Amino acid sequence: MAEEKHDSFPAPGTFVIGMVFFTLFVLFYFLNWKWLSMIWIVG
Amino acid sequence: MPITSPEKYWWKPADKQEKIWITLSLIWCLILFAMMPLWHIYGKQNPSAEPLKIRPADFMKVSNVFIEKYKVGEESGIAIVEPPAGVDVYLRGQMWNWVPILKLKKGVSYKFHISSTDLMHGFSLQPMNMNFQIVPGHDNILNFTPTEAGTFHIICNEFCGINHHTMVGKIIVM
Amino acid sequence: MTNAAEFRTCPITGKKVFKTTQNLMWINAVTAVVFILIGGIMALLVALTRWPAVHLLPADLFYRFLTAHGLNMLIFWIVFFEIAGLYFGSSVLLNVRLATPKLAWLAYLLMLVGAVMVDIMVFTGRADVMFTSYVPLMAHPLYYLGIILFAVGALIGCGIFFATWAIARAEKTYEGSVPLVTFGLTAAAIIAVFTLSAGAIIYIPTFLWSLGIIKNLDAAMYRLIFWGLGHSSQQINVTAMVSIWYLLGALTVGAKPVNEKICRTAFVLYILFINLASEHHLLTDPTLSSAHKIANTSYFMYLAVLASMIHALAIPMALEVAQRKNGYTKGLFEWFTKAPWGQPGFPALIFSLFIFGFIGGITGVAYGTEQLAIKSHNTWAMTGHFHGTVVGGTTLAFMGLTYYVIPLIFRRELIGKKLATIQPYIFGIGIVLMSLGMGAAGTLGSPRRHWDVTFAVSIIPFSFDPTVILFTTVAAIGAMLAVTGGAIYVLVSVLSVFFGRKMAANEAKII
Repeated sequence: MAEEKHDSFPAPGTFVIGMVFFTLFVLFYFLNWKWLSMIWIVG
Repeated sequence: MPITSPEKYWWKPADKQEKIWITLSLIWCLILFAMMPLWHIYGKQNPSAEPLKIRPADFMKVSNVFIEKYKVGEESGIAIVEPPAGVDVYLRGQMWNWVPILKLKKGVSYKFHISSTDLMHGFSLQPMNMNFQIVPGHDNILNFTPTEAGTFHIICNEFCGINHHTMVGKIIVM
Repeated sequence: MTNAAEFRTCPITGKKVFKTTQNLMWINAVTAVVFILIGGIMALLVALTRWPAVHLLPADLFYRFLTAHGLNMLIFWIVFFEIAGLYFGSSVLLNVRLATPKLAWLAYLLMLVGAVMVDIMVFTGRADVMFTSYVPLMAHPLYYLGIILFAVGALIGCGIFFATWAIARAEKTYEGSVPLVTFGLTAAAIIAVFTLSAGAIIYIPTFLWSLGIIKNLDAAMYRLIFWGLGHSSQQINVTAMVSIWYLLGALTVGAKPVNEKICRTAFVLYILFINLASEHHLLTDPTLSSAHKIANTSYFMYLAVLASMIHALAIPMALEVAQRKNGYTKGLFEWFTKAPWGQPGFPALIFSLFIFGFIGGITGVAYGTEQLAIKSHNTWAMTGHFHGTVVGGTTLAFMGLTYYVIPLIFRRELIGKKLATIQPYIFGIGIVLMSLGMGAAGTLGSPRRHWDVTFAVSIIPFSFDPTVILFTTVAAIGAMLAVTGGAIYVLVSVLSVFFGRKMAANEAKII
């Protein structure tokens, strides 16, 4: 199924790199929110 | 080629791969956007939202009054001040001190007024690493609630002259 | 002065290269390299001082050289190179003579005089104000005047770009739409115009204030308008860099944009929204309301983020499609592993793209979020972020392009091709280590622009967790590698430009 999907992409390797990038982006972004939630309350 | 003119009709529909990526990116951008107002509602850490101007000379005066009133001691020539709960706290950045040293209580909310009487300074509370820009002529109003007891330090992370790296302040939370 | 109509035809691209354009590109590019040399020496000294085990310079020289490092790299090196790029993108790519070459020389002289004035003021200790020169920190009036002259020169350069564009259009020297690289550089030039205008709006009153003519300058207002220059100028760099990515893709593997519509739309998004992002420098300032911050730094900015995400797909996609066409079709990554890694342009492109995206881009979006700025504002993590964007990204892309400009435009064969080939690797790995080291130390609280993170001489004793010192050392080692890479770049480009074998008129050899 996944193979079939890749075949229709002109650049399947780029798609994989893109997804790795996207995953790291999401992880780093929410990790920062996690760190923020651990400090003193301020507002 | 990107260095030659494209064919005459280059306004072409996107490929499936491009469509998936752009849709995903757009959704992600909207999530990035939503996080900020959501954190104002549900989160407990937000920057100042009360812009207020104050002349450096006036800030010097009110912070000195604050120090005189609640002073409980001195360390390395800098006053130690213990404000009761509910009192506005004045913290002054100046070349090259944070004045005064503060004694606070865990779990109590304090309304901080932080400003500078000379150059720009960077309020950087360690080790939690909380950072705010301190601008002369402007009052950075922040409601802090210390969540743990201990000794904390304020370093300066905005260049403020030759002894910038010696500028350290202290907050003791009991 | 050479005849404005004199040109040769490039044996590889078939483009007309006018003598005047070539000379102006040459002088701007060579000057850029001189400034990266000055900035690079400063980088070495600053890094050796922040390295706690070495701690080379005294405090006053550290802050002075840090000021010089920022200005020489971020402004002088990059903008001189970009002006050369604008003349290339208009005159060479559109097959047309450069508009008003005399004015272009004037623009160059203004920039040069401005840059030299600024450097003299900084190095003689009359402008220890950092790159940002935040009011009320005051420098010598000639410092501000130098920056104004430089900005006016750059603005004239942009004007010449548009004028050359107009001549090409009037004389129909190209058919249909302009090439994508020219389109991208046009976006960069448009952003440059409002960026440099913000610079004029803030530096002219600051200049008058330093002369004592204006008495009061609001520190917060200065910050707001300064970043209209300070950050937006980085957006010029981003836009120019993306254009150069497309160019390097074409030069190295023959990549062409998969969908022109998507690439061009992304550039338009940059023009429309990227300048608003400047305000994310003020997220922890006491001057703006939350709604204002969210509107300016978020929703609209994220459309600029969207544009970057689009380029992040379009560029590797173009490379992959071209490589698959070149016959590397096996599996998911043969196109990548069998790429021309032994040619300086390709590793420069890939390192630039990956460092910009994975390090500079991701951290930039996180730190530019209203609340998250509390954790990162003015820490060394910020320094790590922008060394990922503007050094690992922009500078490395410019370096990679230089190795093609020298044979293609200046018609000199490269001296030290092997050195040139390993240079992007050394520089890229150095910047990765440095940015990550800075990011980790900064996340633990280490401040930017700081002479002594061990706080050996503070009145109230304080010390960081020892891991901060560890990460600082990692960053310093990365900086040493990057400086080595930078030195190789300067060496190869200067030797080649002055002593490289002159190529024959019909010699169709790229590298």
